[in-house]
Amino acid sequence: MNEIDRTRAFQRAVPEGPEQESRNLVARVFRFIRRWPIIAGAVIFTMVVVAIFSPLISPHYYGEAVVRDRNTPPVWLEGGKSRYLLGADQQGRDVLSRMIHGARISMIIVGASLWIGMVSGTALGLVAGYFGKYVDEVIMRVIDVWLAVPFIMIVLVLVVVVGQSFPLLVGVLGASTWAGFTRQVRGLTLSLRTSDYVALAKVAGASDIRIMYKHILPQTWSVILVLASLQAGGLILAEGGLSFLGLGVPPPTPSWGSMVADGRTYLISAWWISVFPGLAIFLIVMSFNFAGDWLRDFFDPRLRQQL
Amino acid sequence: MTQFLIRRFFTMILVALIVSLVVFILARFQGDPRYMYLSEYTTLEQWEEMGRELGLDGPVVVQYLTWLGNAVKGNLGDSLREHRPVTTAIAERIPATFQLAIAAWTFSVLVGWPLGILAAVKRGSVWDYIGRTFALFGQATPTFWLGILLILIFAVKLGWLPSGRNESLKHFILPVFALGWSSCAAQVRLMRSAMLEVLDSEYVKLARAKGVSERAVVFKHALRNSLISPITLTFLLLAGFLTGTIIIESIFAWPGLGRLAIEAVYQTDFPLIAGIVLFATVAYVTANFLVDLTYILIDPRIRLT
Repeated sequence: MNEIDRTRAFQRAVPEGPEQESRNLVARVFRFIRRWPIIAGAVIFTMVVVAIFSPLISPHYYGEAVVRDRNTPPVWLEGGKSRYLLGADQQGRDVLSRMIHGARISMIIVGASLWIGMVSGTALGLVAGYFGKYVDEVIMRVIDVWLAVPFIMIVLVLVVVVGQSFPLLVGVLGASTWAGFTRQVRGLTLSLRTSDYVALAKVAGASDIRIMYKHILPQTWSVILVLASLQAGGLILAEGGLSFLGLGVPPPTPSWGSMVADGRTYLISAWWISVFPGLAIFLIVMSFNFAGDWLRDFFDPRLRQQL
Repeated sequence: MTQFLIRRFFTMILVALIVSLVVFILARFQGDPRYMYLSEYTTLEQWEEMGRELGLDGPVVVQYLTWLGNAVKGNLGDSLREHRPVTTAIAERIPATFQLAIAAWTFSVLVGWPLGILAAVKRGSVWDYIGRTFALFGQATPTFWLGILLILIFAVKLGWLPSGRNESLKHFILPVFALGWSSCAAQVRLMRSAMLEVLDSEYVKLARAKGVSERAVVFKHALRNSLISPITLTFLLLAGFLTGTIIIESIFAWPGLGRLAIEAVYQTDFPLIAGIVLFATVAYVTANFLVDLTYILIDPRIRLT
């Protein structure tokens, strides 16, 4: 039997899946939603678009303060004004505009710190797994030490000495992510190193760097992507927490965490200042976690135990 | 086993030393510590005398060792704003943090473990759905926002519960819930996946095939073998709680270590922060080491190698 006939015989032998049978539009839409992370994807996509185009989308400039509109409620409540869809804060600034700009700040911080952690962590993982022996030993011991350090405490000291700043925040958050990438990439590299195609590449005269970059790294992309997605949520929470405490994004730049903190004193009179930015954090973190879980199951369900 | 223990022990010492070194270097970046005690009546002799006392006349390495020696002896200097020893300030905040930590941890284990086990055993049922939703929500909710929402709903709008300080048992409800919620979710998630893995193993199938009752299969065969990572996680969480939970303590005006730390940051009281950081590091690292010890107790694979 030739190649084509075998495929056709196989197709005839296997009954059509239920996907093809269903003509019911509602059922198909429902199945589609269950199979693909539509809602999570939409939330992440919206946030990225909002982050990129924030100056165009936001109804007002984020710093514009109208003193007589202090603590204006959201538009659907009594006393709300159509100018402030989600209300105004204690200085008369539009909550929605600040949230939109805050999305940009969050994305920049998370993107930059994730990039730092991802690149350095992956590089170290490749090196540790590929060279093995004492190189591996040293890197893994450094990770042991690193994971045992109470991180938030170091951040406290740094903030007091260096002062609240953007680069510090990105650096600190980036430093909190690299170890995860190193561990996963190292594990994969350890097993890939002994495979035949790496041995053949070596025979062909490829250098160590070329083997790591061209032959091993492409195999690790799926794990890196899953891990990055799972860590993005954690980073948003961490940035929010630090900004909430006044250790993260320096004012007056709006950040979701510091907006929640701003509203604390006005909980009784103006709950919307705190509630909406927190809700935004909750939704986006949930979406990232959801997308990460989905990506993990999509690429390799066996990772479930590790990530 | 001995090798494992020795390695962990040295990791512990190393972490403490590294953190102390970082704090020391940053402390020196703050400038000459004598400036803190300087007044317009300080004479040059007093200045020199202070330098000798603080060990500032030797090389940097000696300075570090002197400083470290003082820290080990419990002499962490005086707080800048409160004008009293840092050690005293830390000591009086420990009980509040300890109470909150134990309460929140107990809550998270009592809810998290049974829910995780139930979700795994009754996979695909309502319980599984509840457990997974709980885990998903808990891991995405920002702690600081949850705390504020709880205050808004239960203290401001409904007026059922107090929102701050640690005066009576009632005062514990909101902070314990806010603090325990996300840790509880993490434990549900880990417990569920650990149980699922074991329930799928050959020896559980064999036990079932032999006719062992479902209860015995779950509690004797599956649970005992799936406990390793949940136990590790739970003790690490406890260690994190015990070193002070800055966000929850500052939201609920809880007179604990975390709030002391953040107040010190706001007032740029460097000696106090340095002291808290050193104390928290030692506590955290020791707790980590104790986790490693429990590991040996519960996992024969480590004990026997």
